Amino acid sequence: MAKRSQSLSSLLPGTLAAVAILGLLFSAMLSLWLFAFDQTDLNFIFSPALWRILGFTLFQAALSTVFSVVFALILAKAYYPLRFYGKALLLRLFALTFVLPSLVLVSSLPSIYGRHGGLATLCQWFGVDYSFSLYGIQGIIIAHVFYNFPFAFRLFYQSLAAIPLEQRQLAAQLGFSYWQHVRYLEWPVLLRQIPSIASLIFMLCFTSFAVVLTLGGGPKNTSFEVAIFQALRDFELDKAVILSLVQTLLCLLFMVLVRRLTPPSIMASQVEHPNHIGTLSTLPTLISYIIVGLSALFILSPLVVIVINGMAAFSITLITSTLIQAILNSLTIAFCAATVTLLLAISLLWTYSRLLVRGYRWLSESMIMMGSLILIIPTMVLASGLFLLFFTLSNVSWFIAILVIISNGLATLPFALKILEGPMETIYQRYHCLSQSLNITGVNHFYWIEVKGLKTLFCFTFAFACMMSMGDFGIIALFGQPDFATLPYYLYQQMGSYQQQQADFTALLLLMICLLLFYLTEILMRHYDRT
Amino acid sequence: MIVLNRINYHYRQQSMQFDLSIAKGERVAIIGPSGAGKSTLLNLIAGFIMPTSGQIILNGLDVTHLPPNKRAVAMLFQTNNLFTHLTVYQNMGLGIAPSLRLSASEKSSLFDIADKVGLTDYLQRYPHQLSGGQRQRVALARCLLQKRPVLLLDEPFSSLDPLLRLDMLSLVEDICRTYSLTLLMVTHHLEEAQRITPRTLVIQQGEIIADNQTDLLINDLSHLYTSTF
Repeated sequence: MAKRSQSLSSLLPGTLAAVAILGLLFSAMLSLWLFAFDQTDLNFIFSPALWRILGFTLFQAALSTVFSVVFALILAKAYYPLRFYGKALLLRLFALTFVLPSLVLVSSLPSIYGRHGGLATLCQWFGVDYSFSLYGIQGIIIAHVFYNFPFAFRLFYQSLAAIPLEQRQLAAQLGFSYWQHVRYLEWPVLLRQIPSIASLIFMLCFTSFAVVLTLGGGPKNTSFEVAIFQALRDFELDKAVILSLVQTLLCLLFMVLVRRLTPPSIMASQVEHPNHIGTLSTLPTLISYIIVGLSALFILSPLVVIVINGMAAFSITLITSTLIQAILNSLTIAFCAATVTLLLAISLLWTYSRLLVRGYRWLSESMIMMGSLILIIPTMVLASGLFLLFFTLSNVSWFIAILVIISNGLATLPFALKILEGPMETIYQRYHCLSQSLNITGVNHFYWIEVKGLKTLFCFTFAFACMMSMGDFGIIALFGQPDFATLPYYLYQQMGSYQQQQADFTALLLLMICLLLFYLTEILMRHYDRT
Repeated sequence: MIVLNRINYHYRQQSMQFDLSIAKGERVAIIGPSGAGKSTLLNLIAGFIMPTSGQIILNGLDVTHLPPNKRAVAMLFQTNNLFTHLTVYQNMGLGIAPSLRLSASEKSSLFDIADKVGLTDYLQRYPHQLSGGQRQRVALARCLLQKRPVLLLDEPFSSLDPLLRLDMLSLVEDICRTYSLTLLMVTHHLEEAQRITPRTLVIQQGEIIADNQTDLLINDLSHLYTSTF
C-alpha cells in the first residue's frame, strides 16, 4: 500500500504535465485540421510556391549555419591563446546576444549597415561605393549570425579550454608547429562538436520568425514560419495546415539528427590553465587581435547603437499610456509564462528522475520528449488552433493574453528542461537511500530536498524564462491588437509606421528590461555556483 | 534480532547467499575484499534491495517485503549522509519527522542527543561549515533520533584520518552500550573490529566464509588478508 501511494506520487506530476501538453497540442492541431478540411485545396502541395518557400528556408538556414560555424571556429582559435585585460568580460559580453530581443536587434541594424548607417559613412570617407541593402537574404544572415555565432563560439572555446594541460605540454615537448598544434590537438576536439552545433543552429534558423518577417524584404523571401503566419493572417487555413505539417516533419527530422549528433558532454574544466604554455609569435598574435576586435565590433555595435539612439530619441512625450500599458502587459505575460514553464518543467522532471532511478530509461526519456514537442510544432499553429477552438472568445483581450502565456510558456520549456534536468536528477539520486530510510516522500520531499536544495536554480530558470518571453515576438504578431499590445508588438507597430524616434526609445526600454533580468540571472547563477 | 534465512540475491552476473543470525545487543563487523557483497548484505537488511528468495526477520518480524522506513534499522552510508543544503538542526530533525514539525518533547530529545555527540554549538550551521568528523556525528545523531534498535554502518568513517576514526568508533561503542543497540558494521580495518565488535563475519564472493569471535579470527584473518586480498 505504502509502495503504491509512493509510486503514484512519483508518476502523477509528470503524467499530468505530459497529458496537459499533449492535450493542448493535439486539440490545437485537430481544430486547425477540421477547419482546413472545409476549404482544402491540395493543389498547394504541388504548387511552386511551396517549393519556393522550402528552398528559401533551407537556403537561408544553411548559409546562416555555415557562416556562424566558420566564424565561431576562427574566433575560438584566435581568442583562446590571447591574454589581455578584460578577456573574461568580453566572453560574458558575447552572451548578451542571447538577451537581445530579435526586434530590438533588427531596429538597430539600419543605423549600422543601412544606406545612411555607420558602415556607409565609413565607406564614403574612403571613397568606396556602398550599395549594400539590408533587406533580403543578406540582412537575414547578418541577424542570424549575430545570434548564433557567439553561441557556437562559446561552445568551441570551452572545448579548446578542456584540452588537458598535459597534452599541450607534450605538444610543446615534441616541438609542434602552429599548424601541427591545430591539426593534432585542437581540430579533433572541435570537429567532434561541429555536427551537433551546426544542426542546432540550422534548426533555430529554419524556424526563425521575427528576423525573416522584418528583414525578408518581400514576399519572395519567405520562410515557413513567416508563410504560416501570413496564411493564418489571411485566413488561408488549408495552406497553413500544409505548411505546418511540412515544417513539423522537417523539424522532427532535425531533432532526431541533433540528438543523434550530440556527443556526450565534455566535462569542461572551465578554469583556464593559469600558466598556459606556448606563446604565439608576433604575426599570429596580431591577426588574432584583429579577429577578436572585429568580432567584438560586430557583436557590440548594435548594443551601442540601441543605447545611443534610444537616449537621443528620449522625450517625455514618448511615455504614453499605451506604452505603459504595453510594458505592464509584457511583464504580466512574462511572469505568468515563466510560472507555466517552471511548473511544467518541475513536474516533468520530478517524474523523469524517479523513473530514471528505477531503470525505466525509455519512459523517463519520454518525459523530456513531451516537454520538447513544442520545438517541432510551430507555436503559431498551436496558438491559432486554440484560437479557432475558442473562436467566440477571440475578441476578448484576456483570452489573447492566455494564448500568449501558454505558447510562451511552452516555447521556453525545452530550455528550462535543459537547465534543470541534470540537477533535479542528481539531487534525487544522491539522497535516494537517505530519504527512503527517513521516509521523506511527496510534499515533504519536494520541500526539503528539491525546493531547499535547488531554490536558486529554480529562481534562475524563472528569470531566464521571463527574459525569453519578455522579448518574444511570435504569436503576438498574429493576435496583437491596438488595445492589447506587448512591448515587442508596440515596437513592431512603430517600426512598421516609420516612427523611428519612438521605435528607438521603445527598443532601448525593451533592452533595458531584458538586461535587468539577465543581470538577475547572472547574480543567481553565481550564488548557485557558490553553494 | 537479525535473522537472514537462506537469502538469495542475484544481480547481473553475481549471485549471493546469506544465512545469518545476530542476537540483540551484539556488535558485529563485516570484512572482506571489495565487491564481495558487504554493502549488499547491509542493503538487503535495510531494504534498499529485495532478495530473490529467502526471508529477513528483524525483531521477530518478517520484514522481507517491507520498505526501508518500515524496518527497525537505521543506516549510515559511505557518502551522502547529510542534506548539504539543510542545517545540522534540520538534518537531525528529519530523523524524527519528515515534515520537521517537532513537538516540544521531540525538540528536547534532539537537544539532548546533540549534547551527547557534542554538537550543541553547531545546530544552525550547514554541513560544509563542519569538519569531516563533525559531519559524521550529525549523521550518527540522526540515526539515534530515529530510535531504531539496529544500527548499520557502511564504512562511514573510511574518509576520516586514523585518529578521528578511533574517536568515532569509541563514540559508536559508547552509544551502542547506552542505548543497547545491535550493530552491524562494514570495515576495511581489522583493528576497528578488534576494538569494538566482539564478533566478525568474513565475506568473499557473496558468501559468509567465516563467522567467529573477532579475537579468534584475527590470526587466520591477518593470514587471509595477506594471502588472498
